Amino acid sequence: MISLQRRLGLGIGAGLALVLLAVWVAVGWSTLHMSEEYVASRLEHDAENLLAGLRVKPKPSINAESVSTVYRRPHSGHYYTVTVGDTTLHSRSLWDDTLQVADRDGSYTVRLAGPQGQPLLVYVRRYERDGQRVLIAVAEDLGPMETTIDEFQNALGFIFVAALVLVLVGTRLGIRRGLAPLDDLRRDVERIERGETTQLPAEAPAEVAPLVDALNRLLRLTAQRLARSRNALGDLAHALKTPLALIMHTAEDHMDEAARARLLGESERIRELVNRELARARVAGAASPGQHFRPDEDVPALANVVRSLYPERGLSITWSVPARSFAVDREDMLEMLGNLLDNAAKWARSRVHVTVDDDPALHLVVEDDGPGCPPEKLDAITRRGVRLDEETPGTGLGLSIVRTIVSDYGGSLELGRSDTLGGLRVAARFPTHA
Amino acid sequence: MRVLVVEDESGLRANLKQALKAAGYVVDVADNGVDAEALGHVEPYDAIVLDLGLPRRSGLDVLRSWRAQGNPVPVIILTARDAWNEKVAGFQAGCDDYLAKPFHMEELLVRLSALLRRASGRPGQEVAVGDIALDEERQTVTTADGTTHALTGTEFRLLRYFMLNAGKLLSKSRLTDHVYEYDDDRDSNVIEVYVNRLRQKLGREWIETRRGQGYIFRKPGP
Repeated sequence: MISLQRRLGLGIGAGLALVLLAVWVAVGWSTLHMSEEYVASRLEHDAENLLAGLRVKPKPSINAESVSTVYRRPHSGHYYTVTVGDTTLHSRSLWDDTLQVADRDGSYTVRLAGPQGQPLLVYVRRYERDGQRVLIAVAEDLGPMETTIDEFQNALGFIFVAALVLVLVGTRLGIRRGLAPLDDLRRDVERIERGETTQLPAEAPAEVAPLVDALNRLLRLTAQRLARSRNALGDLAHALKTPLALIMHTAEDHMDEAARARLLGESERIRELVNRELARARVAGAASPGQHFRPDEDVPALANVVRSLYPERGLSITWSVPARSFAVDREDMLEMLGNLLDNAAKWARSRVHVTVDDDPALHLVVEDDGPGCPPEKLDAITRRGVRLDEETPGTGLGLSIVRTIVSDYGGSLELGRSDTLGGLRVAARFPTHA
Repeated sequence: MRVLVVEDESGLRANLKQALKAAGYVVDVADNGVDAEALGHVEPYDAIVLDLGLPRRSGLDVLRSWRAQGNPVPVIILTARDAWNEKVAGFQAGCDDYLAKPFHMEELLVRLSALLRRASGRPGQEVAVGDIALDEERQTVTTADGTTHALTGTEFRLLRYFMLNAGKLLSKSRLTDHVYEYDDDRDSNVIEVYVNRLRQKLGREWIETRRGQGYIFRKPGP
């Protein structure tokens, strides 16, 4: 996965490092160059002093007063040689070394290795004095100066590296801060996933706002589409069921026994099919942004409905549910639990218990104290992929809807005997992200 | 027993009215939410059969409005909308029973009669006071000595209302309301005639007359 942070950090870091390196090299080079110029001009000055103190006749000699004392101290780093004709005068500082320079017209500077390996800058110039050719070479040890320049160069390098590190860290922090709204956005989207809200908060930085708007539009559109298709299905149900009721009532009143039985049988079948397909189509599934499921409110409400639908049964419906919401569609959960409770209410002697668990994922259990189901039949009830026209009407419609919902959420359904109540126990387990 | 049927589909409405009349109920009908709401507020119904998908005002709104006014009339919701979240919403709005379309008329009658028995505080499989038992399907009454008397439509309606309101003082006008259709000829003196006929079948002591006030139906004291 590409990281914006790394990419931006690398870009800025590499660019800045190149610039700083160039500055560092240029500063080093120009400092050295300027220092050499300065030394060379001083050497030129010394050469002129030497020339002034030079006497050619009778024998070439240099007036000691015109020469600085550093030229007399051995290996002081300041040297000269003066060549007049065949005679060469050396500064005392040279001791028994010499400065080997070429005799050329005019003046030039050259670098030489001097006594004790000192890096020398040598200024060479040819003069005419009393008809004689005079070659003066004045040298100075650049060692101390180069050391100073190196120290300066090192300090500058250190400062540059520190600046680079600071800039990189600053950039990193800046990027992280700049991207913080995206992190917030991700948390908000997760809240929508959990069903805690249906829209993203409107306030966002200008760069992120269009994304938030687009996401909100998408959420609204999806919710609208779901509501529309659910409404359309509800309308279809209404449109089909009322005429079907009329057909049934007309048959009950106006037909002979055989025709009535047949028509009622077929009407019943249509009713089952319509109910099943509508119930299936109503399932929103895991990805829906609908209302979230709150077991502590919805389970008591459902229990009240079931008790009211079977008032003569005197059922005791109990529950143990956590007080939190789940990011699953409320209508789906009501449909599933309603069918399970309805089934339990039909078979229970007197008690039905609902358990909702959230450890680690949503887990629903409905148990009753009815006759339960023999193990060999459990398979038949839970089998999957049975074709519509193969299932016997009136036996398992409720469970088939439960199965549809559970499998839409990628969960699993488990039927067995209740340990505590002795009847049927149906457990629906949902995957962790739900 | 006076029942309001609220249903916008005319064929089904007619069927319901006919079947309920045949079962000995006095039936008023409404085909939209606004009329239904007004009728429910004004008329003293014993039960209401309410569709949810109604023109002008939804059935749930109508039901909520009755309950907000403190009207405790038993209501059966009769609707094609049978998802469990809709059932939950129905009961939260204050209905007492919920029947999904398409339905068998017999089931509606059984549930309606059970609802009326529950509302009168007499849960059980049949309408009975003391040793008198009413057979709602055959519209007959069986007395302590085991004799079964056939009842005419009006006698049946009157006796059922008496039995489901046993021990209560019932005025003639109230009896008229619950035994006759809205637009019938409502002569309260006719009630006296039917009370006398019931006394002949059950025994005089079952129905006590309070002069100027009305009648009380109750098990005769020892």
